[in-house]
Amino acid sequence: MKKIFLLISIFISSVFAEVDGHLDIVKKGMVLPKIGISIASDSLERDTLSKIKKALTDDFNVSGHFEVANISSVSAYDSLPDILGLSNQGVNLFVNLSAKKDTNGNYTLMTKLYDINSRALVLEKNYTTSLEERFVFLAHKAAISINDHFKAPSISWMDRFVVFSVYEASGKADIMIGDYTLTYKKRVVSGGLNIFPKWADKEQKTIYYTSYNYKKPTLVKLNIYNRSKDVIMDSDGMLACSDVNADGTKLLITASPTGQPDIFLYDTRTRAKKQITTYSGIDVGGQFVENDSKIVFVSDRLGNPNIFAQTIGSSGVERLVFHSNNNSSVTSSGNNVIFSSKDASNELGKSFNLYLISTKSDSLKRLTSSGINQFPKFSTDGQSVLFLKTDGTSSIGIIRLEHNKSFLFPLTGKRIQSIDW
Amino acid sequence: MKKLGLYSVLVSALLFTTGCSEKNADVNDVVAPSTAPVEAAIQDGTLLERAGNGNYYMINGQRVLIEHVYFDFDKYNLTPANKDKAVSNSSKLSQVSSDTTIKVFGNTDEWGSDEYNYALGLKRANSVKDVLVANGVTTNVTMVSLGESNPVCTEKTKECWAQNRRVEHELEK
Repeated sequence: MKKIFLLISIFISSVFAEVDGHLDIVKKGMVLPKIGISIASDSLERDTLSKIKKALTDDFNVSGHFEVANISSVSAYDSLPDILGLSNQGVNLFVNLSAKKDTNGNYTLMTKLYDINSRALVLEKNYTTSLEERFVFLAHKAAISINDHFKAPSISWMDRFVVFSVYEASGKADIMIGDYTLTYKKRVVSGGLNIFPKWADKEQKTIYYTSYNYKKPTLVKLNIYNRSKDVIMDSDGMLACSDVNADGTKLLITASPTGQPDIFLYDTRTRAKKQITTYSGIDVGGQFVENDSKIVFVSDRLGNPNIFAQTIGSSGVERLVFHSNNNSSVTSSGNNVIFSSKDASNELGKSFNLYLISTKSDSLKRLTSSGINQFPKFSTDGQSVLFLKTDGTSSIGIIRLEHNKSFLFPLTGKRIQSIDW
Repeated sequence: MKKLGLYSVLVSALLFTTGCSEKNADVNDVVAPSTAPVEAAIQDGTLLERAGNGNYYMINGQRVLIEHVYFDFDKYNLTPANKDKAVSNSSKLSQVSSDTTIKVFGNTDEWGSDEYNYALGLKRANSVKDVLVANGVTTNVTMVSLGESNPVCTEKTKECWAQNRRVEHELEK
């Protein structure tokens, strides 16, 4: 039995080993392990479990590492599944789900993973939350564990929070956190206009955001767990934290102390700020690239918004994008840059698409094909992109760069102002 | 802002009370019109009414319309017609008392991306501020960009988006 399991592991590892982290690689004809998900017949917590099953299905699909099989097979949690029936359907892996609640309100998701070919239980794991409303994170954790069990490329980003600002009314916006599908949402800042949230640390305990509840637009650092606040700086006109570097020691901030929007580098240890751009028009949206030695940003210095690069400490500016005349937002990860491009130059052209480029090459890759696609943000590993799509309805999108696939999760409710992952 | 709102409520309440009492008054009991003392009581710089194309303020004892200034798509330079509006606003605003702050709010339509829109709103506010300062406004002028966060019209039409690409003025003591 161990030999058969070893063979499956080697098979799966060899499939994933082909994904080498280079963004342009697109796998075609790759055979993925087929996984079936079922709720145990003797489980009592069926409502939330149904939602968990759906979330787990989405996670496996988004991972790009499994093919989710549509199965009807059910079995009790402590029984062996219908191995023969599942095998006949070509299923390689089977996940049986159950759940329990204790008297303290803790909700526990129980999972058993079977290797159908080896007829063996290969992974049994429970996941507990004190708040049942956070059930979707149990699904994300289970997906990550099963993915890790087969040593597939990490999908640990699924477990992270996104932080976003939502317009509540004219001149009012609240800040919320949620999971990457926005199935779970929780308000963390409310009242007045609160915009441009960014995670301040890897642990996702603190955020930066711009508050209009002071005399001037003010950049605030907030610990969302103990509510401690630190006012970083203020500015007439506008203020936005555009990027936080990997270790949280440097920020790129768009500020306008003299009524002129320019990009500043802020050192969180010394609280010193240094002006990087000095153009008399619009310079915004600075993003660190090439180990924080350089920034990419949006500027209208050629008459329309476009993407430029500048080495920190130098005044020379280089145009980075020669596609379209209206590219007004940019995000980066390492040397990779994604920008949002408006295909028509007037307000009636309703198509914004996302494009991937590198600061080290001339490559240009289109990532979306229709609709309004905005707010691109790289995952922490740089291999996935979160974005918002508006095409009649609004959806949150995930692009899996290595797999050349994208997924949409419909959004209901209010308009999102800005999002960070 | 809260102060302005409070003043507006008080003024409205006074005007409303006055109107009612006039309606019920006996002609033989006619006393001196009460409107003059009420107007005199309104502080300079008070917001009197918000209209579609601008805001009415009490300036130098007069009810004055400070018009919104509008911009073309993705632009922050003033067209000749809108520059005339800004110049006209300047001559009215140059009359405000020196302890008044003129807040210039820049707004955009929903197109464009988050930060760029806020910068565009700021540049629009800056264009209007430049005209005010160049045309005799000596009081403190501050700018705030509200980006696309403060639309006056939410329909998905060209006309509606044009209404949102605007600069508004508020007076603050």
